[in-house]
Amino acid sequence: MIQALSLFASLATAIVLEAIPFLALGALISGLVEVFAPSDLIARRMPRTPAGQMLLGLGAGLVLPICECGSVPIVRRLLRKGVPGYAAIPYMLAAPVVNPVVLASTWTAFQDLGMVLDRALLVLLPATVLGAVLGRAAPWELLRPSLAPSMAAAVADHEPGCGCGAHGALGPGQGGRTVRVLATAAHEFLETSAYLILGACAAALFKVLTPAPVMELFSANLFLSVGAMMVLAVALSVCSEADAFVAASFASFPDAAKVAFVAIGPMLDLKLMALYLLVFRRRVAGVLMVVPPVMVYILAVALGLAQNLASQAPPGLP
Amino acid sequence: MKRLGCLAEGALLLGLAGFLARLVQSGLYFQFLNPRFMGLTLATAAALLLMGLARLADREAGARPLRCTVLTLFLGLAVFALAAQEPGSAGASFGTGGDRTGEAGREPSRYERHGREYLRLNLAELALLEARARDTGATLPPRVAVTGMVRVLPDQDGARRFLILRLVVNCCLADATAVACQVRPETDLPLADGQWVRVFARPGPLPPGPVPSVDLPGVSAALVNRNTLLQAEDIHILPEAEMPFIFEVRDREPFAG
Repeated sequence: MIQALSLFASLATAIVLEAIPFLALGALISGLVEVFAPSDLIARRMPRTPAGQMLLGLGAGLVLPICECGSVPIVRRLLRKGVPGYAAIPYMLAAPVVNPVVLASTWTAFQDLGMVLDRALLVLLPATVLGAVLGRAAPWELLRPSLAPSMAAAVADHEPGCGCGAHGALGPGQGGRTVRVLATAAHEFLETSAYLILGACAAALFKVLTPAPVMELFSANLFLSVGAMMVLAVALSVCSEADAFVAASFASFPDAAKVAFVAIGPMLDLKLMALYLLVFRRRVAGVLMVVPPVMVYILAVALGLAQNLASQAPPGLP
Repeated sequence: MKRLGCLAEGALLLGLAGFLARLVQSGLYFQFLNPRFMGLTLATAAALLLMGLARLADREAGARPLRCTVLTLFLGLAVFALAAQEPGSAGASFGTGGDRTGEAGREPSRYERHGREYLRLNLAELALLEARARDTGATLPPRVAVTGMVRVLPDQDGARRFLILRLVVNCCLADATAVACQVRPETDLPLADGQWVRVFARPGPLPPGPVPSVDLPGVSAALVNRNTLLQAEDIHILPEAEMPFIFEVRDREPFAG
């Protein structure tokens, strides 16, 4: 009993400790955006067209890589600053994967450029679709009402010091800018870390209670293996830098199932579910939790079927 | 109340910063995270310290009971987890060998025993070399020395074998993957589950047959070598659990071991 409890505590602690640096980084960036990036500056720098904004969001991870835990507080802040959903949502979904660090780790784990490209594709497509769908709404309409600025008067009812935790509590003139950045970051970190901890505990419980051989039951069937690996990815909540190595160890599973594992995890896991519910309106959070797994499943199965057909092609044919 | 709230939340952030610093200093960091992240953890502790002080100064913003409760409970859980990993503790998860992450560079690249030379590497590196040998037609090293934990196998048709295994940790304990390889000892050696050994062996082809599975609590994935059998020429029983985790996998000498 003490061993099981110790194991649960160690796993939950390890998951949280691994994510905390990125959560803190996301909170600090969020604080910097709040204090130093006026909304009109962001609006002036944004591409004018939805397509341009989506391309910016999809590619921003290559220059501003961030773990999935850090992307949510940053995107919350960006949306509050008026960054269009066309850019913010694709960035949130794609940046944890489409960045130099994760692409390199994927290559290292699989030693197969095809797997790297498949992973990027299975993330970019859902990110594009969700950016196109959710980008139609005004940025503040995506956020939970308590986090969105008042439509009528952003300052009167919802301002620094109101205690919602959604923005810097120290208003202009209160403390230096550095203190305001740190105070904003502290609120952001406190808010998101609580939900991260809840998600990490759920993931640790799953790992303690589920024996590894259970997964082997699903390896023989493409449809079951893709689904099983996706469920495992959501439940394990492994970071995007390490999940490729975990997926690669499932030697008996088809490549399509492994790609599904590494594609869905950074877009949806137990930690992210908690963060989505914290930040977004319920309907938006629901869309974020349903569309990516459906798309990844369909795409991964299609990939697997195509690979099966290719491997059965008569010799001499491409 | 707002004053109490800012004190509580500020104290929690400072407490978390203190825990991170204590973890780095404790020698038990490796039980949770890959040691290459120590610097990042210390930097995070510094950032949380500053955030905590800013929160203490932020007297106008109220606290949220839920986040205070969750963070308090987490700190308690983390302190318990750290205490449970102390050497000799009954709660240690995967062995309590001391932090020897700095020793990998000081161990010899090759061992010599009874006039034979053995290449020191870890089980993940052995699997990597074996995969490369299959792809390129290269040969495995003639003799290797690997360290790991014993998993006794049932005697199958007189084939005395056991599994030697270790855990690969890329980022944190949650992504731990077991790597294992079958070993055939030259003589009957009484081994027990969980014993740590260093095996000096000749890698050879694994005869056809069922490959055993590995089921370790908390470990979701296991890679049991399906192609290589280690024919042990010498087995050294280690007095205590060495570093249970593999944090580094190299593809050439000097191997991480």
